[in-house]
Amino acid sequence: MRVPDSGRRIRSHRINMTPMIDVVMLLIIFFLVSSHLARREVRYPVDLAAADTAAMIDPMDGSIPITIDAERRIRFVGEIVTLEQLATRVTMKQQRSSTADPIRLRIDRSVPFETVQPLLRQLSAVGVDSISIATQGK
Amino acid sequence: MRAPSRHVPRKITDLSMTTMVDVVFLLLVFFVWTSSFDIPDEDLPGPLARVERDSPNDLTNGQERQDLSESIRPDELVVTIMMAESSRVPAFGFGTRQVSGWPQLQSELKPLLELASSPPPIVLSPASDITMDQITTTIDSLRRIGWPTVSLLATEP
Repeated sequence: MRVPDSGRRIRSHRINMTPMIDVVMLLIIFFLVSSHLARREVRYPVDLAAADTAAMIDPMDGSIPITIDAERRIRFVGEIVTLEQLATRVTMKQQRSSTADPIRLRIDRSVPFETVQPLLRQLSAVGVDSISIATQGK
Repeated sequence: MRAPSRHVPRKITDLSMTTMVDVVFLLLVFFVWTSSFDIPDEDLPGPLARVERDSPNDLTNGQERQDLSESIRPDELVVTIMMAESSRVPAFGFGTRQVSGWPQLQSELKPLLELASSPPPIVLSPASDITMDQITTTIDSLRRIGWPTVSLLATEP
């Protein structure tokens, strides 16, 4: 004898894959984009001095960053260089550009002037007549 | 007897979470893309005190330093910063005067601002042991009381 159907529907335990794949793809895109941006914005971390009267940087001004870290290493666009190499690279960069790109000095607040002065001398020798000192806003 | 209506519109009360999560993630990606992760630096612009070379030789050579002549104009005010031996506060020198601490320098310089229609350009000449923090603070303080541009001396005083 056949048991009569009680009318209850059997619940499906199969997972719908389509929305799950949607969400997984979105997560992948999110992590790819955020890691890409994190790489692009990497700057050598230095503890900059604070200043009240400093002006905001125009990100499109094409400035050339020169960093001196707490260990007194000079970095030109992220690469450790000597003073002589720095002079050559700044000259090349200035010649390549139609306008004189401003030089931005990102110097750790603990660095003494005896480390900075040779750099200023070298910049002055290759024709740089103005600089910007990078600070952190108060 | 009233015949029952065949097409009664059913209200859909349950929201589709998947679609909503899709949209939320898209918004999240958009805002992450267009925002910045780190605090931008700010700038203290200023000229370098001009250095004229009498010799075409390399400037890094220590022997050539004596051949350099700084073209500091007579109307420029050279302010030196040095560390007093018994104090943690930097001392400042200009002309023949020497003062200790920023408030004293400020009180000495303010009359110059009031006398002249345009303040004389200041060239900052720090001693070798003065840190970048102290240099930046001095430039910032000078700008705050009315000197918009402060030069930094690229040679030894």
